[in-house]
Amino acid sequence: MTAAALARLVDNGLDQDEMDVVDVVRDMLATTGPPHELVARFTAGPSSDRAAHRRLCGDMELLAMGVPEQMGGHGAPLRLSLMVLRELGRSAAGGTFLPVWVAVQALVEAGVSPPEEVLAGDRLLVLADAGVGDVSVVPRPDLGADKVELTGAVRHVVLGAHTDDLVVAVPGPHGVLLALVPAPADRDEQSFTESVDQSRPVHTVDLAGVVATVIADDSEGIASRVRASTHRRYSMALAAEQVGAAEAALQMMVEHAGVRHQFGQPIGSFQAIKHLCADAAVKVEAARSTLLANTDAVEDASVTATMKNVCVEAAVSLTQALVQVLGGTGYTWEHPAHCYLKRALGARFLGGSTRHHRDAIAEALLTRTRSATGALVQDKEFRTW
Amino acid sequence: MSVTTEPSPHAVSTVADGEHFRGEVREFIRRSLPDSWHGVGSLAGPEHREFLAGWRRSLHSNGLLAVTWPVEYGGRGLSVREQVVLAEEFALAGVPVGSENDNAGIQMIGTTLLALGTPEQRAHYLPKILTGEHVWCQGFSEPGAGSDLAGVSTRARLDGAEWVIDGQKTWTSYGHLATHVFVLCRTQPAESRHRGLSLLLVPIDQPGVQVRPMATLTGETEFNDVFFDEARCPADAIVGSDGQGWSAAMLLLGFERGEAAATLPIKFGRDVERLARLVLDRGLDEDSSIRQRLAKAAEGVTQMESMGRQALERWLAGDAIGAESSIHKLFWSEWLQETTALALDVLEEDSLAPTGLALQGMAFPAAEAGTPNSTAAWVDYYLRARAATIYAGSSEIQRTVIGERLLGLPRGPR
Repeated sequence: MTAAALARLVDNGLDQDEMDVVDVVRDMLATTGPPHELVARFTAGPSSDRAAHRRLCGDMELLAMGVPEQMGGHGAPLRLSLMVLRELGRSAAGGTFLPVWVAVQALVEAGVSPPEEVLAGDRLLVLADAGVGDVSVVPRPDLGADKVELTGAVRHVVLGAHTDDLVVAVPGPHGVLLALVPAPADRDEQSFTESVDQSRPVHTVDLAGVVATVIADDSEGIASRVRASTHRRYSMALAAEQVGAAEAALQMMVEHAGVRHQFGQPIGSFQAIKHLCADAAVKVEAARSTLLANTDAVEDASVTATMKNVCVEAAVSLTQALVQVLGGTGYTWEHPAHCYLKRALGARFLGGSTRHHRDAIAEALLTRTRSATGALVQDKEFRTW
Repeated sequence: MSVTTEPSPHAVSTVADGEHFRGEVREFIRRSLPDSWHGVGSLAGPEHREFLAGWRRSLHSNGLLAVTWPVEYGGRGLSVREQVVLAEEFALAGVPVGSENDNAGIQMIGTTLLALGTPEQRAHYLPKILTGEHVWCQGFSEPGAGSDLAGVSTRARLDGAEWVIDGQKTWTSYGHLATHVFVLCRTQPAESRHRGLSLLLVPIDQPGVQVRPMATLTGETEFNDVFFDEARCPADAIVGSDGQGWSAAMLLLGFERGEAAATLPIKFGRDVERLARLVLDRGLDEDSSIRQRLAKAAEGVTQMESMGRQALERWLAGDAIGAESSIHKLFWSEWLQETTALALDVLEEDSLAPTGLALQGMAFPAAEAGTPNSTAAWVDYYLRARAATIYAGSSEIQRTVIGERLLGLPRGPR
């Protein structure tokens, strides 16, 4: 009853095409082995994820799926990619897939066809967003218009030590400059740092002296638009992944509470545990709905920021609660709970932290309010029912 | 402020799909409200009361009070979809769907009589509910039976052609405005718990019924104790048969049609806009902690909107509402408490001595459109929000419902 009821909620709102893709991903993930193998794979980091990444990209073409046809992909809607990311999140998989997916989106948004090898999973490409001031362009007129030399380093580049290529967003002559960069060869030694999320280690990538190929600059504001659009997609991708993670955490929590006995009864019969699970279910339903109801909102930065915050914070909260319900086991590597917790903690800071996004949401709301005069009653259009 | 109360020459079609009906509702609103309309929350005192009375008469004469009821009883024979559309458009326009007692009268007992009542009962009671001749309130909770409703001890016995009722009901909302009360009571003393109960239809204006209003946290009258001392009602004033009161009561409580899923995000969204304005007025727009909390409140509205849209699509397609509504209730009631607490933190010590126009009308559970951005309104709202995690199933009951019915966790000691 439990499993069926939860499963019904999970698959609510998906159409047949979406279910078909979701089923394929689930089937593939079901063959990846028991929980302790998940722990082993997750904690071993990106090198242990390469085979799975090749299957997702090469065999299943899930990366190419969301790329427009004229760029060598299959032109599937963004929502379908998000449903794939959600399934990967449910299995704490896709450690490599999501960061590469984001970088591919940046290329697509810039109108650049992603390299075939990347779409096939044979080469890795990730996004390195320097923010403001950490990296700059060295004047080199001899390089011509489509090449620049860079100096400085980018911190916290996901898979920075493992990737083959980087899409960098750096301050350029007109604002933002987007460029494609081959990853420096000698970076492992100098940049390795331990990461909380072992499946998605972050590294400082030193770009001093690297010559990059310009994808877009800001002479017409294109690079800023591409960067903002990529970040909105990044938010949605993490939201989708973490909805899957939160759903998995709820499932594990409820299953354990139903079978683990103390004082002669299942611990889920005690209100303290039952109510903890109920609060978790509320967060999952809110996060899932926020994801599913807004998959078409990619142009609205406040909505995508909300999606990310709601879904990631739900996952952090759910995975913390999962550890609590599991008791001592939850605090060990005997159970995969910690993988989900670490993945959620990582997601909280990727693509802008919850605090950063909340500040942006507040700024947008306050700006709107400053310019609003008179009645605040909105004439909202509803078409759904 | 006056309302156009004459019946519309273009009566709304009784066969309409949601969007066609929406256009007609909008036309009705446009015709009925002045251009300067800001919402019912902006009216106070006699002006407010006068507007509400006129508005309800207008809804009745235009056939918009109980649109899902059959035409023969004064309804329009429309679907739940149209009911939701109506509620949504009214929420957007800042007008109520009826009076304080219409939830008990139209939605609860009226709809229950449509399902379980005899033809005579329907013909007798239903039109009078819509004309306002009968004003209903609910007699379920008792001092000893709150969350545990099956523990009611009010009892009734047949005495010739009448039921004779003794006992006490409490938390009876707007009982002081009502002419009738539907009473869940024990008619079979040998039975226990949910067996042997009946649902009786009792007139209030009689020597055996005393209604005692009590002040709520905000000092207003909303709840009442209702005392029954050999109160009487006709033997046929029973919903369903003798002993079937529990299933009638559960049916009655289950007539949630999901409008709240559409209307609450609209109303709460307006609260966040008002709160943002308050933050600006107070010069706190650069305060990072206030900004974080304001954004979280806004995120809450998006979540409620999203949950509402997802759930309504399923419910209107015919899915049972079920335990998911407990998720919604838990979410919005806690959101409301958190958000009104934020408003008090924005006001700081000014919230100690509230000034200005307070919340007007029911504001149940959300403030009405047009509510002023006054200290009095926010303090009032904060105080009223304390009730949100208690009424209509306390948060503790909701969590148990979610745990057992939705997650399938085993039952435990209550």
